[in-house]
Amino acid sequence: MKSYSYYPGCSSEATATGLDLSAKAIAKPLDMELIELEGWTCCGSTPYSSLDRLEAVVLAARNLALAEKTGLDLVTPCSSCFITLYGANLQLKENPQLMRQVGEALAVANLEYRGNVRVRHLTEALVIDVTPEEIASKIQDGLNGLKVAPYYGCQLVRPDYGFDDPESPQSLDSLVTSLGGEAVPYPLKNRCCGGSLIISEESLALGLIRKLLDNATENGAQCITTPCPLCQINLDAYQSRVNSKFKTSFNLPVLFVTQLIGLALGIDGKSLGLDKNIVSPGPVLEHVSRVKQEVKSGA
Amino acid sequence: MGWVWARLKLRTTCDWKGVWGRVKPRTPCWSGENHELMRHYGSLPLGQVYANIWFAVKSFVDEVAAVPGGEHIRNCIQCGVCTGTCPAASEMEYPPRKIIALIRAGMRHEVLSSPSMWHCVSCYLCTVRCPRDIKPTEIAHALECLAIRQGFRVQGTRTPAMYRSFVDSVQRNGRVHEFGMMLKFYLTTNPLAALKITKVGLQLLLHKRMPLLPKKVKGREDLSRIIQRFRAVRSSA
Repeated sequence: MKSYSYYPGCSSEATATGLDLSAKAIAKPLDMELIELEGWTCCGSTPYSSLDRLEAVVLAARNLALAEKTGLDLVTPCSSCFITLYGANLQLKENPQLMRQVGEALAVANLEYRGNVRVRHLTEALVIDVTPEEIASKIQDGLNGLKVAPYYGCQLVRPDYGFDDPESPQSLDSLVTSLGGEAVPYPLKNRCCGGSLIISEESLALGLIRKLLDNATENGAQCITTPCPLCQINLDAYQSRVNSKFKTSFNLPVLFVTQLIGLALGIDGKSLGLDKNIVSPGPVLEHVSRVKQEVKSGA
Repeated sequence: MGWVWARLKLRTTCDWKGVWGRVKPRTPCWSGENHELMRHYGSLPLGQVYANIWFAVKSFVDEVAAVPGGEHIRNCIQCGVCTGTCPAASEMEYPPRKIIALIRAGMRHEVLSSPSMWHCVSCYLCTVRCPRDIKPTEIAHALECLAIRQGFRVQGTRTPAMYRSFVDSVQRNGRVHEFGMMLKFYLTTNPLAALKITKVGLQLLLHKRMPLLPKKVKGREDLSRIIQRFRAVRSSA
């Protein structure tokens, strides 16, 4: 069993409860131990670094310092936390003056950071450490050919972390296939959903979300899967806004990739937080269980 | 007193409009020189105007080049891949290629008072595709910081208010409290606009994805002490 220091991210307490629940639920069956970082605080995300770049690094540094004490890789399921923590880590290592200033500030809380933490995304850990083959070996019935549009979003693969291609990523596709699902071709798989600008520039973001939903539907997807909390809330909770603005009738469930893995592993919907999805994942559950029943009755 | 006021005014950030005609001293002035000259001659001598323009032009590019990610801005060949790639370009008065050209032309006021960079969705597609290793995403966020620091009032976008409510929420609670952040955002911008997302909000509430009260976070006090200390360290450096 491999242990990780787990950084849930602020959205895990509210809009992305399902991500947090499902990440914890699938960890044990996949031989991972996620130890929540004690006393973690916000990483700063894009808003903080847009108002004050250097101060934002301090927010990330506090969490990195806490993680360094544990001696484990820092894993987060949130793409925004990932890019922020990863970027701040890099910046601190490359800029000794900033490291010194941040170190002085951390000292008031008896913390120090030496730059020895490896920041990783949960999806990366699933693909690189656990591997899709290993996951496939733990699955019995799986998703039984469920057609899934793998939606990566932006910050999981860009700018460049080396674990997947920024232009044509494949990691989620391989995960979906290992679960017994069918990853449909999804040309817009790494395009933007608008992120937090859904709040301040709604019409811009709704236009982007519409394109994503359109593209998934055109390719016959029964659901979309994504690892990112912002992508999930935009595609899921704002789907009704897209429908009313563009007079469309999308009804496409959007599941966290961890929820999909949990489903394939046979974990019940409530432990995966599926009841928190706004567009009902009912059809997905039905498809998975129906095919299971057919298999059973056929045997 | 008047002298102090004029000097303060000169020290605020703005731009130069017109070289030959009426000169508005609205560029950042690091010395009282412009003001002294204005007092003496009634207007600025042309040589000083040129000097100021050179100073403004040079320093603005330098300022952007000094931020992490802005280092390679001088390498831009204006190929337009960034703008062609940008999902928000249609909403921008100055899309990425244009804004880089404006920075290099030293047009500080035009750039920093524009809402364009506030439309950046941080998708990093331009950063990945730029053939000259420029990082337009980082530049956009750096420009946002400069605009805030230099006191520009940006019209035509609500993103600064949204970012501000996010940061306030982090500073108060240690973590973002999403409901509090949204509430503050709508109260400080347009409360009526919240009506549009009533359904989304209610659904989030019903699905238990929007707690109304913030959580007490253990590291909250530590975090604010660290931030205070960092501000002190930075200002003394």
